[in-house]
Amino acid sequence: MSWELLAGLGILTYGSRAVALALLPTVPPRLAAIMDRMPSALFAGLAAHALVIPGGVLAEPPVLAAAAGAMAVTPFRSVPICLAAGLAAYGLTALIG
Amino acid sequence: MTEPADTASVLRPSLLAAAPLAAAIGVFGIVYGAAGAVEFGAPLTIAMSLVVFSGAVQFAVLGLLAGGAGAAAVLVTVLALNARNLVLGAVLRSRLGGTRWQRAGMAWFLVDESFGLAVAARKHTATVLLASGVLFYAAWQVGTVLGVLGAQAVGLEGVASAVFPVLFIGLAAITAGGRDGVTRAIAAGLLVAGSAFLVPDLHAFAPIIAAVLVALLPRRDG
Repeated sequence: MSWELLAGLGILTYGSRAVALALLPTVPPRLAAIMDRMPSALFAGLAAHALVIPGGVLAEPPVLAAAAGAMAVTPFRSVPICLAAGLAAYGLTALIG
Repeated sequence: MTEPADTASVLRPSLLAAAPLAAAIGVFGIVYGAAGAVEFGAPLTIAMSLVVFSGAVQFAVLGLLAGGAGAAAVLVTVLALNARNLVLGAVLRSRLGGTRWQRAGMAWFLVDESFGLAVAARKHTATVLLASGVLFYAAWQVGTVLGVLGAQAVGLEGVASAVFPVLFIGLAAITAGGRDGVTRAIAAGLLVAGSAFLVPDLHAFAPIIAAVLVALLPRRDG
């Protein structure tokens, strides 16, 4: 990797973070209400994206077990608890497998 | 930035909530630092963490360059990965006051985890975003340096591959709000999983497309 490529990556990444946050005007309430429905859907989609590879190939069994473990404790609404349950399920499956 | 004066009372719980995530981010940083030092050398590895500050982007670039990809392919992939930041920024925009320059400063610390905590807090959004973001930034830098210096990352690579989906599931849980949010999250997850089978070429953008689609559906409990 070159320093020029690194600079490009930095600009692209920061730019994507700043463009909406800094440059967007305040959105109308109706649009804000729609946007408020997006975070959980986006994160669930990103989780699915990490678990199912294009072409329909599933992630490794310990990774799927970790996801299942995390999903089982979602009613607690706590990221640390999801992390703990997911990693425990990962460890157990890796041990068994 | 236009938030009340009790910032200190918000700061402590924010940092406590962020601490376990920071620990996970630090472990991620060790894995990245150890792998990056082999592929890029120490200076570029550390510089990348300083100026990019994105596990998803940095691991993707590492994998692409190790596989012999060119700069154009790397930039296109990073564009696709960063597209979700537009959504995160747009969602937060309506919750943040302050000047354009203040929001531009806060944008430096806009990552999935700080966004999730800020949205879940529902109040003091700027304080939570900044407090957690600064903590995550520090954890990522410390982890990277430890990895570069040779901290043992053996066996952690597999765990790291599980941490991404687990973190996202946790973030979906804390931002879901109520039953309506849970239903939308499940629908989006199924849409993205289905897209991997049906339209694999769109898979990189599937989470954003799915989130927009399910957000446009009217509330059922209204």
